[in-house]
Amino acid sequence: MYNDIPKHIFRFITLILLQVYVLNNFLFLNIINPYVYIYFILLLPFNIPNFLSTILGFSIGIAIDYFTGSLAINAIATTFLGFLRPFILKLFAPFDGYEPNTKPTIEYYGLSWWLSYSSLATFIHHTILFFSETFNFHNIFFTFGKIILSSFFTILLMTLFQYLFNKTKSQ
Amino acid sequence: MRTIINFILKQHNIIIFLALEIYAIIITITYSDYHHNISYSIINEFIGNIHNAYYSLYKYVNTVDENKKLANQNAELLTELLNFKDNNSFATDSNIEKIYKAIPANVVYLNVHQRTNYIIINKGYNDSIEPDMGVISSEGVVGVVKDVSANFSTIIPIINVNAHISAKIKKNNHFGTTTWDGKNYRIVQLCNIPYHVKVRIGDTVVTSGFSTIFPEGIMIGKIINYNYSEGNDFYYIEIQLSTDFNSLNNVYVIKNSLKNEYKKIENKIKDVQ
Repeated sequence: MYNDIPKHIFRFITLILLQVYVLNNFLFLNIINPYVYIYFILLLPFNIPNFLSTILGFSIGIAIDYFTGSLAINAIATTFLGFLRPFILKLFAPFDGYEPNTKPTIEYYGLSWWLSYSSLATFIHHTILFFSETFNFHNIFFTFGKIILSSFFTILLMTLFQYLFNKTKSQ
Repeated sequence: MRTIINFILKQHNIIIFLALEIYAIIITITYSDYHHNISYSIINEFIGNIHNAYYSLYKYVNTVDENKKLANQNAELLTELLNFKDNNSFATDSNIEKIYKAIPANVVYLNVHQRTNYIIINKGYNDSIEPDMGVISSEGVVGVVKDVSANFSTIIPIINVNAHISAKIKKNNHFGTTTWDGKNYRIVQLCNIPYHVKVRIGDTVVTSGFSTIFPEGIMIGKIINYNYSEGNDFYYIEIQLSTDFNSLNNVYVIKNSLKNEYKKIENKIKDVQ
């Protein structure tokens, strides 16, 4: 598991650059802004300690915030997601638990597992993110529209990543 | 004592989580103070350099477009210069042209899709840029400088929910303040225009010149929509911005040489009150 560390660091950097320079500059239909950098948190190994996933969640959030000058709204959302991730994993665990030497990907646990895991995580993250961005409950329907549509695109892109980047590894 | 240590060891996950979360919330609510601590300046330089590298790449790819834009801008400036020379025979006050100085800069990072958008430019205090200077482009108003490090500055653009720029309707000189609702980056709102003022779609809105940040008469945009609700003394006015933030590249930071003098006078008034 530990020889995967360079891979996680690489993913951390690539996702930040992708988010800051590509995705934040595209806005579909004026309201959809996918935040795929949470892919890093979702793909952390099963066996890392809980406190580490909280800290890593905070790290990627605050990194994005420094790049985009967005105070710490991404950090609020990702810290929460990092903290919650072990519980979400537990919620969707297979009958006999997660096997050692596996990764939280479609390759090992199938598409439906991945979709339920990533959807719940994305929705929680986006809800906190968009509400800490507006910091009020006016326009609540507009905000919810943003959350749902953006979540949809985030999940779509992350699932696409799974098929694009994990096929080659398994061969 | 031992029970406390045991408690901390047992609950370290929740304690770390709460600490980080509270830190992030405090930064967000108090709006900022990480901009002013020492580490920020170092991190800002580092991130500015990454933005700059990306910008060089982007510029390399988009040279043709940029050249066209610059050529147009040159042509406009030339026209203005010719007009100015023409009118100059009447001008007697030679001080006017020296009050404002434009410092050219390039945008190395910008975002238009957040509610608190930021722009980073590649000039800092080494080029005598200071906080609270106005920033414009060839198309119109851009924003106000917030933080400055050695080679980079952060700008709060007019399309940031916390930005308020003093503006007036050009044809009748009634003034108000711009605000942004965070929805569409091409449209801002103009507040405090009383109902008795005659407003028409297509009217030009410019800066009022009431502060030392912007000179008077810099283009903001055109009115595209207005309405008036019962029981409200002011119009709700929407302005289509003349600056297209999505393709913003060359900007000018405006240095006002009379700013200190103005500030002194202002402080004197405050002292009297």
